[in-house]
Amino acid sequence: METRRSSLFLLVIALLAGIVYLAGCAEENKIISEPPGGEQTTLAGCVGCHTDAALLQATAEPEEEPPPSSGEG
Amino acid sequence: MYIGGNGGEEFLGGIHGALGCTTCHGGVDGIDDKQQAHAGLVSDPSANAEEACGRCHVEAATNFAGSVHASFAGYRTFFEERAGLSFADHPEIEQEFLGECGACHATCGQCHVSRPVSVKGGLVQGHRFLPSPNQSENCTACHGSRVGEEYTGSRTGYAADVHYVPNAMNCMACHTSGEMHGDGTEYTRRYETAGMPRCEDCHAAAATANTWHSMHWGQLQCQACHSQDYKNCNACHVGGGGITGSSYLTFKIGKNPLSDLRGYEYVVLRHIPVTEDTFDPWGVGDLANYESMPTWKYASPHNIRRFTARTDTTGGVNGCDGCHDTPDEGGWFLRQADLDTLSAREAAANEALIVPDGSPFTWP
Repeated sequence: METRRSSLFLLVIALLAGIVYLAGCAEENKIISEPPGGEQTTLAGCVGCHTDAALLQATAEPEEEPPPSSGEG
Repeated sequence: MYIGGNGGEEFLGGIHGALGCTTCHGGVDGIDDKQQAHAGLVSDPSANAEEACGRCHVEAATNFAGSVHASFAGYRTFFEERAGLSFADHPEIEQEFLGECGACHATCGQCHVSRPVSVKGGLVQGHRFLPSPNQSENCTACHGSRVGEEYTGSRTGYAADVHYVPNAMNCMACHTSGEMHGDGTEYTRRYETAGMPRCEDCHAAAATANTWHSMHWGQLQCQACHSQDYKNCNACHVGGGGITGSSYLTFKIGKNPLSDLRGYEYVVLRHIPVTEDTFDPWGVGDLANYESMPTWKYASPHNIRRFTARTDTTGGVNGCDGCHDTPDEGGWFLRQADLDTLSAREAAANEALIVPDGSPFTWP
């Protein structure tokens, strides 16, 4: 009985220690770029830009004319 | 290019989205600057099907290069034959061809992701990969002014094809992925393609369904009786000229110019807009071998009806006289009177396809 209680106690302590450790790791894994000047920015990437309709409209360039179509095949 | 809506969400959460954009499109991810992010961008990676799509879709990507949708081989074949020259010997003319006619060739993406370039592209469903192309956004985006209009019955006074069932029986019901993707064979013209649908594939039992079928099955192409009038075109010119002649609806039955590929004796013929000087802007001049190929071409109009002007038996009409008594001029058969309206060279090109005047009962 005493042995079982001790085992359970140790298990709980281990679990708590694990949770604390992982929380600390998550904090360290945040990627933040710090360009000169010290201001922090987040990187948009392909998906970040191409799922933002307002951004795409603001940065759209005039379409090039496609090659002339030969008509229906 | 906006990835959004339900299609965009499905794409981003699916197997293609999981690859990451730069895997197929190149460019540089994780950068705010547009120009830097787009350095080395490939807008249509499926233009190199084997490299892009063939990593997973090995068979389809490998075979597609030989299909006429990819190679545009028929247009190349017919141009080289009529012009009496080879693209291999005239790369400057080939560049002209690729810039105009060849621009309509398809890629995997232009059927399964975006609209064709020839209609200015654009994602069909937010970059979702469509297992089957969309009939209106993909198929009839290119095949619109003839097949699309015929099939959907969008011409005033003409009914839709009897097979047209919106959202149910679309192009893919007959034109399978096997046909579209090809089988690795480098076809030189579309009617060579293995797996092209034939009426007989589904309607073989109709061979003895009635007297007309019993008499003409296999001799007459099915469309000779069951197609409505269809569009014909005149006088197209490259170099921006486009169609300068009129298009018109008509119906002409003539001798089969593809007897090696289709065994019928008489078939429906559609006039195509190639003239002797169609390609003159490319520096070709008049086509040297213009007479070598007819300008009335084997056609498969997609406007099939059981009852047409040819099969109408209203009022007790026997269904035979419509064709058998059709006038020599302006009637349903391609005859000398039709060639008399053409230039001498074009008439010569089509001489082998006309039928004699008078009732078919009197033909030799």
